[in-house]
Amino acid sequence: MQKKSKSWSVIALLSVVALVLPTTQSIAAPKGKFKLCVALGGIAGILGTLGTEGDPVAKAGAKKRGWAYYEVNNKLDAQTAVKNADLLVRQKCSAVIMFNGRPEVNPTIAKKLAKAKIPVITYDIGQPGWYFLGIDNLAAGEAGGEALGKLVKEKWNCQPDLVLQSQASGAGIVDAMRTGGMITGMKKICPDIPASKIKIFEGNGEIAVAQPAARDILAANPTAKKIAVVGINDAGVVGPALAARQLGSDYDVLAWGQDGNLIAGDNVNPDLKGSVLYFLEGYSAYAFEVLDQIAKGTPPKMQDKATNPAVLVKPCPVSAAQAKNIPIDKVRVANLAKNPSKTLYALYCPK
Amino acid sequence: MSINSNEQRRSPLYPRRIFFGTGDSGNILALLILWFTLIGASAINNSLFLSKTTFNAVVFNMCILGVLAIGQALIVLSGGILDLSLAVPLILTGCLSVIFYDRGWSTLPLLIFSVLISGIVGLINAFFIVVLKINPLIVTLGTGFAGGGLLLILFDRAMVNPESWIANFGISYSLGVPSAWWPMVLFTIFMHILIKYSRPGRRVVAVGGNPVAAKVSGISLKRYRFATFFFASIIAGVAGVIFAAFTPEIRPSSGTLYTLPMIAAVVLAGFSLAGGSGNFLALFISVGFLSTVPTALVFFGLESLWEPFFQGVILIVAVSLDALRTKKTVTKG
Repeated sequence: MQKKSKSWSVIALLSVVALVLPTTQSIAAPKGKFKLCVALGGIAGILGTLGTEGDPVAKAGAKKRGWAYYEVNNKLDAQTAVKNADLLVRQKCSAVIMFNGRPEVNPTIAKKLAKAKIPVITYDIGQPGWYFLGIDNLAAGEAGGEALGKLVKEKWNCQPDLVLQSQASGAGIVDAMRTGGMITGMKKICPDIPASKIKIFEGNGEIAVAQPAARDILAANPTAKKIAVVGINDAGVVGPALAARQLGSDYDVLAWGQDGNLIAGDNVNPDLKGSVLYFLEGYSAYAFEVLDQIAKGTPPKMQDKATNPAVLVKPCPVSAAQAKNIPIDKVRVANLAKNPSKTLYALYCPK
Repeated sequence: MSINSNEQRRSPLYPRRIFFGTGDSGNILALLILWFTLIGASAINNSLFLSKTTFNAVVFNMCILGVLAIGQALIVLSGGILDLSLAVPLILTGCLSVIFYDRGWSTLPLLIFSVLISGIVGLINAFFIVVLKINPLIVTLGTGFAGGGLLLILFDRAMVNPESWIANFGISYSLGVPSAWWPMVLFTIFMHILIKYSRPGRRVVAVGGNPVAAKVSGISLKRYRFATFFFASIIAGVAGVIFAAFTPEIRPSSGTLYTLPMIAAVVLAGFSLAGGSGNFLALFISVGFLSTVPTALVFFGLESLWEPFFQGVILIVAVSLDALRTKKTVTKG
C-alpha cells in the first residue's frame, strides 16, 4: 500500500514539473520596474517560432529598455489561456502582449486583466479595451484571394471545377475573415464562380486533417479536375493539394495559402502557388510603439479594432517564385534583432 | 464477437478454437454486413460512390489508422487494456525518418533505426506497467502527454523533402492500390498467422485471457507484456513512416488525431478490453468500415465536422456491446 502511494506521489510530482517547466520564461524584476508580460497563442507550425521559442523580439526589446520580462504559453488551449491570465495578474505585469489562438475566452481574460488595470496589446484578434496590433485579417485574406483569382483567370478563364475552402473553425472570427476573405478576394477577379462549386470543409490548419477531408470531397466530385484551394494557412491548403496528387495525376491544382510557413526559404512546398505572409514572429517590433508610451505613463488613445488599429501591419502576398528569396522565420527574427529600427515587412516583402 | 471466454479460460494455452469458433466468423460476418450496408446505402444515395476514386480515398484513409489499430489490438489482446501513447512512436518515427533522410541515410537503415528507436516508448510503458505495476491507462496517458511535450521541444516540426522517396511513397501505387496500404495488409496477415498458428502468439492470447493460468503454465507474463508493448510501439513506428509519407509538415500534435479512431476500430472489431480475444481479420474490416464513414458522410452531404461525432458514437456502441457480451459470459459461467 505504502509502495503504491509512493508511486503515485512520484507521478504527481513529475506531472507538476512537466506541466510547469516548459510554459514560462522570465527576466526577474526589481520592485517598481516596468514589467512586460507576453502570453503566446500556441504551438509550433501554427505560430512558427512564436509557438516554440517564445518571442525573442519582445524579450530583446524589454532587455534593451531595462524592463523585466515574463512569458507564458497559452498552448492554443482556452483553459490554459484563462489560467495564464491569473498568472499574469499575480505577476503584477505592467503591460501584456496577448496572442490567444482561442479568442472565445478573450472576454473572460479581458475582465481579469482590466480588474488588475493591466493594459493589453493584442495581436491580430480584436478585443474591446485591448490595443489592436496586426493585420486587417479580411484585407489579408482578400489579398491572397485576389492573387489566386488572377491565376485562376489566367489559367482557367475563371472557371475552376471546384474551389476547396479549408477552414479552421477553432480560430473563430479570424478564420471567417482570413479564409472567407480569400473567397471574397477571388470573386473580385472571378465574380461568376457559383457558390455550388465552393466546398467548405474543416482542415483545422493542419495537413493531417485537411488532407483526408479533401480526399473525400474530391472523391464525391470525380469530374472536378481544375481545383483551386484557399485556407487559413499554408498547411490547410497543402493538405488538399496533396490529396489531389494522391488520387491521380490528372488533377490541376492552384493552392494559395496564408502565413508563409511552408513557402519561405528552403521550405517552398511544390503544391503552393503562393501565400500571404504576415511576419507574425516580428510583430513585437511594432508593439514597442505602444509599450513605450505606456511605460512613460502616457498611454495612447485606445484603438481596439482591426478597422481602426493602434498599429497596422501590412499583409505581404508573395508568389512561390518570390518566396524563394525569403528566409525561414528563425532567420528572419535573427535579422530583425540585428536591425531593430526596421520591420520584417520592410526587410523582406518583395516590392 | 470472437470471445468464448469460458472455453478460453478452461484452456488458456490452447485458444485456437476461438479463432475457428462461430463467435469469430459471426463477428466477421456482422462487420462485413455493416460495411456493405454503408457502402450500399452510399451507392444508392449517389452512384458515384462506387468509383475507383472513392475506393482509393477509402484505402488512403485506412493506411495509417489500420497499422496503428494493429499495434493497439496487440496491446488489448495481451491484457494491456489500452496504450494511449501510440501517437508518440508514430510522430517520433516520422520525425526521425525525415532527419535521417536529410542526413543522407539510405532507406533500409533509416527504416530500421527510426522504427526501432520508437520501440523505446513501448519499453518505458512496459517498465512502469510490468515492473512498477501501475495502471496501463495512467502510464500510457502520462507517456503520451510527456512524450508529446518532449516531441514539441525536440522537433518543433519536421519538413519532408518533397523529392524524397518518403514523399513519393505517399502518392505512389502498387498493384493498382496506394502503396501505403500494403503495410497494413501485410501486418494483418502476419499478426493473424502469428496469433493463430504460433506458440508465442497463442501465449500472448493466454497472457491476456487468463494471466493466472498462464503463469501457472510457466509463461513469463513480464516477458510477454514487455514484448507486446515494445512491438506495439514498433508497429506504431511503421505507421509513423506512412504518416511522414502523407504529411509534408509533421507536427508533434497531429498524432493524437488517431487515438480515438484506433480504439474504436479495435473495440468494434471485437477485441475484448478484458484481453485474451480478438481477430485481426475482423480488425481489417473494422478499419475499412471506419475509413469508409467519413467518405460516405461527404456523399450524404454532411460536413467533415460530423466525423468525430460518428466515431464517438461507434466507439460507445462498440464498448457497450463488449460490456454486454462480457456480462453475458460471466453470467453464463
